[in-house]
Amino acid sequence: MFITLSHLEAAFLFAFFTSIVMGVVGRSTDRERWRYGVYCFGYFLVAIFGLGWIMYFGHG
Amino acid sequence: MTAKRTSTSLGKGGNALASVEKWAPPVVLAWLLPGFGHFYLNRRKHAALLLFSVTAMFVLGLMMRGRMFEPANENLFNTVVNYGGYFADLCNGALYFLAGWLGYHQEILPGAMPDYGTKFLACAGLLNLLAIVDVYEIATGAKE
Repeated sequence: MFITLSHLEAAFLFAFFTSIVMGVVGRSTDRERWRYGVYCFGYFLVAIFGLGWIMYFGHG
Repeated sequence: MTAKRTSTSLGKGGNALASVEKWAPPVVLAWLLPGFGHFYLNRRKHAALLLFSVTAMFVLGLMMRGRMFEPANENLFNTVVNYGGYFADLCNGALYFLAGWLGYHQEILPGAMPDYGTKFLACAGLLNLLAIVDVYEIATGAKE
């Protein structure tokens, strides 16, 4: 069974799973883990949309 | 000076002389099955999250027809990419061996989706590598 995702869907899934792992291993308390995981996910989204717009304008 | 540098690099509670018997079993378990090192160290909630995340990324990589890297000597750049990717794939542990044992083999395909899949497979292994390092730090007391 194979799937086809858009670039945005693949990037969202990548950001989601990576943020979970980084949250788990990145901090010492559960509260900090939650915050760090959410931060990571937020930064991924900012990077996805930010770089997307930069590339859009870069191509003219 | 050396003693001070060692204690600093290990962080509080770190034990530079931690016996291999103490950290080897959870580290090997963490490599073989994502999350099982944390499970061994009684961190079951974290184990479940790691198992879910790494396995999901790996399975998505397979479903996107990602390619497993193989060690191959070509020019310098491709050699680094091939060996680096092979190492990252190996970090998936049993998932990698199981996929190979079940006959998964993907040639290089044109298009973006198989390329994303290849990256998902390698990144799943690198995420598991992060979990392995975390297990090592917990087992040696460098992290609470």
